[in-house]
Amino acid sequence: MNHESSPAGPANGGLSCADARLQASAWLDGEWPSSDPLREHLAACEGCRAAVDGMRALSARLAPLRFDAPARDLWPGIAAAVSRRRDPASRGEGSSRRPLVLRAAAALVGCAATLGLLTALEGRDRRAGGGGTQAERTHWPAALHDDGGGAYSLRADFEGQLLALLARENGGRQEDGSKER
Amino acid sequence: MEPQEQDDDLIARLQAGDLGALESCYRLHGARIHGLCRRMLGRDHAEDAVQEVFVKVIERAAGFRGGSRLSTWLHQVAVNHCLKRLERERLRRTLEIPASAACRDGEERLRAVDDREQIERALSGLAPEQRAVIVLRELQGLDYAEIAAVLEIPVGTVMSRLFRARTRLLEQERMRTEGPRALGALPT
Repeated sequence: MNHESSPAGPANGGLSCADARLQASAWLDGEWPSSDPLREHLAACEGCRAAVDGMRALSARLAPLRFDAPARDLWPGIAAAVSRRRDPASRGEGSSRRPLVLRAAAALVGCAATLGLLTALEGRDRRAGGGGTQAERTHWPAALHDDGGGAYSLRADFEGQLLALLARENGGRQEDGSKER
Repeated sequence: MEPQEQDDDLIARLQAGDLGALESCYRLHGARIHGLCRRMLGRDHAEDAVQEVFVKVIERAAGFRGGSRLSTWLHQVAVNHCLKRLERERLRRTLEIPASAACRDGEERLRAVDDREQIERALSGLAPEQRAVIVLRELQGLDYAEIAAVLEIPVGTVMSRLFRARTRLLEQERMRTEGPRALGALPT
């Protein structure tokens, strides 16, 4: 097969091989008129005739791939997917929003519980007349780190103390899941 | 009912969110959209893609302004979906071809299966934009104006992109049959 190309010239319809092949490609699709320059070029150029034959053969080889219906009916899956997206209770977007709301609620409950616990412990210290060790008579507000804007978080170095106190208060009962009264 | 009237009726119902209209749309065009997704993404991804495309169809129907046939718009939704998926996943792998079940069949059938596998592999080796034009033209049978509408490119670009895709496929074929020496005489 000779695929050498030649520039445009009077002997080949005034078309370069690149232009002739581009036009021939569209002509095979019925999208380009069978013009005299193209006909003359193909008549004179063996390489371009071979290229056109190759493109024609390629279309024939692609033809068996044309009819490719799915092996099963996909409609039930499509209908279910549309229904899921329409139903806020089961749609994916809803489930991505819900955790955010739940996380915010959990954070609020966590903050309230921590503050409540700290207040209760401080009150107990006061009632006990400052009993216990100095570490146990911790000035609890100092355990809070001011995050600014009225927000507080527990300082990391007090977290261990708090956990140790809790363990002692509960007498180890929390390990089996029971609650202290 | 004329095809255009049928289109208009389906589009109006789709825009109203009618699930029955979507089913009609799937029954009419599903096989072709599946063929498109199959050739763009490969067999393993085709069914998922068809499902995602038809979900997009009912969700985006309100935005369809009727400037083209329903089938053209469906192809546009499907091609864009496939191109985005290819881009996202950089799915440029060779299409998985099942081990030939026709090994003991006649020699002619074996050749046909082999040829189909080769041409599928060659298609999967094209750049996504070239694959899209060759699939839309050769497999979906769209004309240049329809392809231009689907891909939102000028008709002249369709013409040149198709020519380059064909040239590339023929180059691959020559490389396969003639080996590296074919490189010395590539068509220009």
